[in-house]
Amino acid sequence: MSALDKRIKDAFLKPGARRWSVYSLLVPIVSVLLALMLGSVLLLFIGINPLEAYWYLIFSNFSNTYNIAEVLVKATPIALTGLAFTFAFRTGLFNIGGEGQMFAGAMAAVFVGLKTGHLPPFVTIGLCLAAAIVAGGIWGFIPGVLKGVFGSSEIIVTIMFNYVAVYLLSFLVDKPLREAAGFYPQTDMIGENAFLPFLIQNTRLHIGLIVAIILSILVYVVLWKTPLGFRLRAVGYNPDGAEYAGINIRRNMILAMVISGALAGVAGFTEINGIHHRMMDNFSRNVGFDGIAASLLGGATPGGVFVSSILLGMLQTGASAMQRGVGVPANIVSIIQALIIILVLAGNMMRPKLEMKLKLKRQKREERQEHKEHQEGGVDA
Amino acid sequence: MDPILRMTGISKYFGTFAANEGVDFDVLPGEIHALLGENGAGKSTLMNVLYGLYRPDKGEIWFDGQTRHFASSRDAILSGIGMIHQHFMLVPVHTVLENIIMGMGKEKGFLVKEAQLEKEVLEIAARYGMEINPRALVAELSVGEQQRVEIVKALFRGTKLLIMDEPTAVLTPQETEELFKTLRRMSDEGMSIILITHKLNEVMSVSNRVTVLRDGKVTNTVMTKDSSEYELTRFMIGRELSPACREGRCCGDQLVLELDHVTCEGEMGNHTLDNVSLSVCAGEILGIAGVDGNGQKELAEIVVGLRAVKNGRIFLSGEEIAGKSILEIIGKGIGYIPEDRHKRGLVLDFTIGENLILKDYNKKPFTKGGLFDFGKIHGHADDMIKKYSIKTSAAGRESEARKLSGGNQQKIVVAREVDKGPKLLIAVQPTRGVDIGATEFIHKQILKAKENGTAVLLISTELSEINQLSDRIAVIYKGQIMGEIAHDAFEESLIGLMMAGMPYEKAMAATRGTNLGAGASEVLADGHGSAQIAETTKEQVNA
Amino acid sequence: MNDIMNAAFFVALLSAALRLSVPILFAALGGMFSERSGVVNIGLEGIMLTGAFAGVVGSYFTGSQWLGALVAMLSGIALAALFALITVKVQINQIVSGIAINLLAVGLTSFFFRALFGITTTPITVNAFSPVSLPGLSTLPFVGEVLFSQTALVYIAFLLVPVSWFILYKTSWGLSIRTVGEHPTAADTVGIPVNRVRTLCVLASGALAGLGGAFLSLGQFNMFVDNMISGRGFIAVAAVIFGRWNPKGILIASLIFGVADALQIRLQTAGIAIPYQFLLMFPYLLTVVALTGIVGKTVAPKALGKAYAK
Repeated sequence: MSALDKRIKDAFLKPGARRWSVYSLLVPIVSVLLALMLGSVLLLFIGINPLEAYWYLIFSNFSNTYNIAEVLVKATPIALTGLAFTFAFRTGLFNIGGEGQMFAGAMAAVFVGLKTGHLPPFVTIGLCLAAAIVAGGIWGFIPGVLKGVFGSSEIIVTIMFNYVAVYLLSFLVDKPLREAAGFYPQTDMIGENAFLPFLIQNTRLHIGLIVAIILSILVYVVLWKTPLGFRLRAVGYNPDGAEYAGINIRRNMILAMVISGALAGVAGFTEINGIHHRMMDNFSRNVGFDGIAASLLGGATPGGVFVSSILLGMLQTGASAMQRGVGVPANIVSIIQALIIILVLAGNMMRPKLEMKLKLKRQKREERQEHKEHQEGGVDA
Repeated sequence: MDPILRMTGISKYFGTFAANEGVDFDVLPGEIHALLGENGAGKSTLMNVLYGLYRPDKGEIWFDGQTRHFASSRDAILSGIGMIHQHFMLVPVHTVLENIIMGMGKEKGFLVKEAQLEKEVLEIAARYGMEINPRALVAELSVGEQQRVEIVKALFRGTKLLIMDEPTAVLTPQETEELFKTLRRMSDEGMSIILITHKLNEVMSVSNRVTVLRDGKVTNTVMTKDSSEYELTRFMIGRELSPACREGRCCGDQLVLELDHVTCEGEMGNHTLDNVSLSVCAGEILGIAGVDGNGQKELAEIVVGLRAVKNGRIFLSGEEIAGKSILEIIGKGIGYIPEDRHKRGLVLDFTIGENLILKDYNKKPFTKGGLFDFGKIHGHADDMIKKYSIKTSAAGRESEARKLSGGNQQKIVVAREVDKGPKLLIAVQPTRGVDIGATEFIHKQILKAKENGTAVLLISTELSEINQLSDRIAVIYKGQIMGEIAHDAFEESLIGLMMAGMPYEKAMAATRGTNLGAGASEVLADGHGSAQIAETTKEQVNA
Repeated sequence: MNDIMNAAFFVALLSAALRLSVPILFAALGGMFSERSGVVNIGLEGIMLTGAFAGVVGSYFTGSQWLGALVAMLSGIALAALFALITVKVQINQIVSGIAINLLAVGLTSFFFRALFGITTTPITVNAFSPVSLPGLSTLPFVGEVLFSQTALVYIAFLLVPVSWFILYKTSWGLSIRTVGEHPTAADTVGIPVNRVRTLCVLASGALAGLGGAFLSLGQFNMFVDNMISGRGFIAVAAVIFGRWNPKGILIASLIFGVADALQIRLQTAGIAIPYQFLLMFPYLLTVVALTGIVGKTVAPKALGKAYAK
């Protein structure tokens, strides 16, 4: 492995100043297993053999190239909205609006894609991406400003803007951007040059994945290796201390929300230009919340988010296969997903206490050992 | 006479750390028993065990006729033990009555019968000579009045043994005397009182017996009248202090900081700073004495730029700085050791290295071309850790500040603010919550800064600290400067009157009137003396 | 345009406004108790959804909407119990826990709905609440229809306001709750069981939010649909802030949102030129505006959002 590769690997496995131990991998693994077990109770309840169902759920993902590609296809936008949540989270903000910001990005990308899709690919794709970034950024800017100026809870405001975005999208596909044929509430296809090239032929996997990977690395570098990230993390950990250091709290909070929104906007771009190539009414619902889930599972670090989004992609792709194979409703996966999150969070909370207990036990055992040796050694008082 | 409380062989461990080890402690009925020891000696732990907040790992508690096993503070309260903490356990937005009756649903009924409960409260307060208004909001009360509410709260629950944790930390000398009068009255009525403190003069002034704790163990228990401050100090730290020595030098040639009729407005429109004018010269320490909450925080913050000025001007080496941004101001060479290091001084979740560059993260050599240069950052951290003897956890410079002791956290702040030799150093309560070893070290650093020509504005509620380090001393009261004196003219009673709101001339007149001509040091050494003087002074003033 | 301005329109509007404010009122009162004790519960949305679902299931299998409502409250309590476990006991961040609860609720309700009723396009019919006209009072002009011809749950909701007020301000329970939310350490030192109080308040919020959800499925729409709560749970959280954490303010906040919701529906059918999607946005935008006007921090319970550990 070259030095650069090693550094990148280290970067993903040792984000920031966090120290990892054996236990930090234990928690996610145990949580997944536990969640699957709890899920199997539900499966039994509806008369389905859990083992059969899980076989489909897990192994269908590897059964052929197409399925592997599908996992990555699903993972891409989740990783991006997950990065969005992570970025804001590190600044102490809860951006629950990834869904809406993604829609904003999608609406911009589709608009630009329809208008410029005849231009050379480089140009039109670049324009779509730029539009998505700007639109997502704006959708994040508004809650950010309200928080900075009025102190309004960004949690509620971003959630409200999710609904606004949904209805705005619904309006756009209903009237102004409706397809020429006019049958369905959806737009026309964007110009072919705006389609994202595929990574693997005969699959749906497109270069959006590369974009997600690049942005993951970028987020990591910015947050932990630059003064900007230092500022944002300081504000997230201790606004008062950051204020004394001359950091402008308000400006940095707004900046974090803009960047966060922009990241989610990119997810809209990848979905429009990479997958659907048009916008329709029930476009990619829930990706925003999956992103939040990925971030929580991944410990709010870029590497963790990326890995978790692949896991979630596997669950979702596997769920469709499971539904086809054994007739289990695919949405059992959302239950399993939620359980995994709760278990991972609980596990992480309890980890330090468990580690302490084990350390104390080991210490006491060592002391007893020493005491015994001392006595046996025959050192008389 | 049989003791009302007997704690035998109490040990409490946190992991492998022994907060208390084999402690024997007893209190007689109607006695005021002082529990003395420096920060971290185990006094609070012992009292938390007694109050039911901790379970002892070894030992027994015998109180008021029976052996006790308190599972919670509720048990302790029901048995008759009351505790008044250093940080008041009062809800500011609730009324006095609500604070007194909270948690007594079982005893006083599901419905809150305000009229009747008010009557009961007033009766109890009157019995011990205390004035109290049940309808007032706690947020509107003075610190002394809030403490009174805490006392009535304990009495209301039928307390027989009252534990008071550092009760005078927030009081003026006069309020302290009021408190001691109340305590003496309560003790006369048969109430047993445990007084946790580190202030020797108060121990000598009001207690009957003293127990000294060091490193979790009892070193001595003596009758107060048979002991002295010197002896108690030796019991407390096992050696003699080598206090930082300051050499007097009054206002020199170079004026570094000047405040010109500065007024600052608070949230409720009041003046948190009122027409303040001050000056500090290079190489001198100006100490600002005063009871907490009289504008000290605002004074520090307006100089640094964390707070806006309503009127008046601030000059740093002749340049006006009021209204400039924090970045600009600290860029001119100001160091600031804030009152609350957890809030302003550090980002607890950052590492030592990150905290050390909190102000300079954006500059060379730490940042190059938009990215951090970790080589330089780590090198700098290692240097500072060595130079300032910062004790880290196993992770060394990557330890999170959260994991360090108070003293070491403060050392990070001091290292960052002092090391570059700032023009002006503002230190607010620099040794609050810091163990005695680190306190000494920090005092020495402040003096070293002064010797290197730094102008120091020292703001502290610890009179001994002010006295030890300052060349000149000013007293702040309700945002106004009551007066300024040179170090040689330091007298505790004089300062005390100014801290309570008396302007300099009147305070001078009052203290002169009691024939104080003798040296200030004698007044300091004799705890009884200062109390008596304060007593007679007040009579003179009121006359 | 004329038909908007006549009295009948107003009567229908206000009557609907009262109805539409009820789910928010229930959830917000529950949220108030939870937040007063120091626990932010943004899982109200998920709990309402669970309540809506459980209410339909209960009513379907027992034939009684009252039993359905009871089942809804119990389901709300169950979900809230999980929430309390992870926030009060394990002490995971309350916001994050709320998000997790919402995700779980969405999954559970859609899964069990399909498991029990299969994938149908026709909504199942359940016994729902029908309006109860209060004798005598409902014949009063104007007021009669608006105030006194509502379903039983509406009356219960509005009665809950003075009851909550009384509990919060005139009983030792309420004092303990408020103390725990302002200064848990002080509460602990006088022997108030902080975490037990918080847990009970969270459970109460679950019961009330569950009831609020049941109102939507049993008293308003008479069916269960995926994601039918549509953000009302979050609006309820905003109502708690806007209503300054006391029952009177919350009542006013809920009514305002109810009016907004009712207006938006009426305007859709009134044939105004605005596309219906923009009308649908109205309640959410109103919430945003409401939040800018209030500096919530100064009035919120001081210990809100922070877990208590000795």
